[in-house]
Amino acid sequence: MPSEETASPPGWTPGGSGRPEVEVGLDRWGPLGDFVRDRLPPAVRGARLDPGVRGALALAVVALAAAITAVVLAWTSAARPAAAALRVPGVAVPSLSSTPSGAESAIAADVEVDVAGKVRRPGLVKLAAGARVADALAATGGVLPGVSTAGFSLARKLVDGEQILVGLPPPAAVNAPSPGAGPTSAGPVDLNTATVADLDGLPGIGPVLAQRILDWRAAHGSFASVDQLREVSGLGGKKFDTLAPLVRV
Amino acid sequence: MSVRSLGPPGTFEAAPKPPPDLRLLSVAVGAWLGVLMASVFVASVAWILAACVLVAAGLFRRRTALAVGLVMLAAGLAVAGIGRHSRASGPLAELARRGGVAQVELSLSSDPQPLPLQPHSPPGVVLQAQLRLLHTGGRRWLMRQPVLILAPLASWGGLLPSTRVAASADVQLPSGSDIAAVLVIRRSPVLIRGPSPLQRWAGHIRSGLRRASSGLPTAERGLLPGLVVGDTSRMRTQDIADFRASGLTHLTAVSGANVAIVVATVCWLLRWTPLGIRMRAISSALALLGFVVLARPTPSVVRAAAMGLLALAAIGLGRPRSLLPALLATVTGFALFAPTLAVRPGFALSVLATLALLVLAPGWTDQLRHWLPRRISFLAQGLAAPLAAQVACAPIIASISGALSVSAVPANLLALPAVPLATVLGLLAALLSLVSPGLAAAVGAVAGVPCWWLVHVAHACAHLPIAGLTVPSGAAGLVCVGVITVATVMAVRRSGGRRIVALTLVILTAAAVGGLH
Repeated sequence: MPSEETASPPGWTPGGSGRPEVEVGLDRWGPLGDFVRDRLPPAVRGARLDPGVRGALALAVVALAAAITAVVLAWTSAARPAAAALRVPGVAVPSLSSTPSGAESAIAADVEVDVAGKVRRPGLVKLAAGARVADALAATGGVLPGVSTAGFSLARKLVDGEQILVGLPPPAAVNAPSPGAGPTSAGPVDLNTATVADLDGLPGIGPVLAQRILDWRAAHGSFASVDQLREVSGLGGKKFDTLAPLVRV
Repeated sequence: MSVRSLGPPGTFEAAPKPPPDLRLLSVAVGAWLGVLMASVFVASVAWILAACVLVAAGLFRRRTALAVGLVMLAAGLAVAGIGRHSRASGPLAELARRGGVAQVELSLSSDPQPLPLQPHSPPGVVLQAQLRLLHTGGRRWLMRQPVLILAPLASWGGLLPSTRVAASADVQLPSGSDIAAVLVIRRSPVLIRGPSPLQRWAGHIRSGLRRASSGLPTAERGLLPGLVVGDTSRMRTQDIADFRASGLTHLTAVSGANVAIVVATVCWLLRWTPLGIRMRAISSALALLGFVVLARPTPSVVRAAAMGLLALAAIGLGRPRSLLPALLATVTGFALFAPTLAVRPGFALSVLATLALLVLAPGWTDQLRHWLPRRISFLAQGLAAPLAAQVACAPIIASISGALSVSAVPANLLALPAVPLATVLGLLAALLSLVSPGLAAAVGAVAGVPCWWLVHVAHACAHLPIAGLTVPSGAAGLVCVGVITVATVMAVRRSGGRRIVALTLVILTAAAVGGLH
């Protein structure tokens, strides 16, 4: 920051002409000043304008304080690298919170999932890490009578932050009215176990993209969610939207 | 007006008045202008300008007022430039420019506001938050950056401020420079930590108010929470449009007027208690604090609280001029220490309305006392204050909406008696909801009467033949309406000018009515 102490004129004398400062100021403006002066609201006629040297110095200090505050704020809010994420396969990243103070952090050993659809008490449930889909369903009071769970594996390990839809179509399918290009394989492909050949069979994926997906997996350990597929270069936007319902983690 | 009974009316006219104190005028104008200028330029340009302005301040050091104004202009430029640089650099801004996906951890800072319904997507909400943790491309960053969130209504609609959540988001570039990124989220949030007890308590009362008003007809049901605590989540789109067209939108946000009404009512009630003056002041301050929490202590509510107190003091003490320095200091403080707030139109509207109350309203009150018949001359102050605020805000409202709302003047005058009534009754219903839902609903039903009046005033005035004149939006509209406003105000002061203004209005009305048929 440049220095702010410019408002301390050495030879300053108070303009004690006896006339109000507003009107003295307007004298400099000639006829326009006269015009404005005649029309000033009564509440500001004859106002004092000059803060004086002491006032000016105090105000310069305020300006400096504001600049320092802004720098400090910018400094404390700027991004700084956090401790590396724990790479526990199957535990999603966002639940591991290390706050700046370090005072509290979510318990890494828990998973929290959102169970929606035809269960007795839909909503968020918290379970110990390593819990399976069946445990989550049990925690919500169980599946409503007459609803099939054949669409997904009850034995799959839960991933923190995921949503389990029971008796509902997957949300992406609602927005993707493309019945023409049906999936070539029987079920969704698991991103964390898929081979190049598995991925190559999906619409819009060639061997090159399939290899890139595997490279990403090798670099990051595993996919915590389908959304992370978008971090693979070449898989943004439309391509991701068509692919999302056909894969799982 | 209940507000007037606060203190002794201004009866000390005979004593010689000290000259109005505008020593902070150049300071406030300089700081605010600097912040506004910095919102146009990138940070480096703002800093270069700040350095140039500082040199200029040195050159003009003999004219202290000007020099201090220039120093403040430099400070405003520098401060806003620093904030802008901080939001536009770092991994979040980089990701936003590329457009990518990230896992984020957020601390919510506003209530979710429903978005207008789009034909092909599920209902959504918009909310503000601080991004605290960003995880992308295998790297994690801690930070504290303001972001705007677009998320599904179903899973995000019920969240309270101060809640901490994690989610997967599409990071996009914002349109303005006061936030770092826009996050588009399609999934449910993962709850990390619930809201703070204070926010939970405020949320409890707010939902109590919604319950208390749920027996009212649809339009009134949506309006009441808006009038009391600025909660417009249940207002219908057509009602929002009516309020906008009739220049009554300010009623549905927390403004200085809400704060003034609440504090004035508390002060008035305390007059009937045996408490001493000090206890009364403390109780009023506590009431103000409670209201700020209830309306969410966002910067704009804090600004409203400051302006409301100024306006209340201006009317209650009967010496509005002595509050000019306080207003100028408030403007300087917000510009230098909360620059992102000072560039919002709401801030300008708030400042101008308060300024009009302090500078224009006293003269207009005297004038109206002369014009009005003796029997109703006590209405002068009640009429002059909102009229002055309306006139002062017209240019900015026109530049935002692209329309000069002619019907805003009658609409605001007609709305005047109903607003304090609805606000006070609504607040009472909200507080009673903690004790007895039945009683709260009864008071809510009574509050429905002024709400009914307001809804009808808004609807009628929005559909007047000359409800709005189309003007260019943006800077052109600002200048255009500003010139019209100043010219009209000056013309009204002379009897010849009054005739011209009246004639213009008659011709405009006739033309509009003629065009209608």
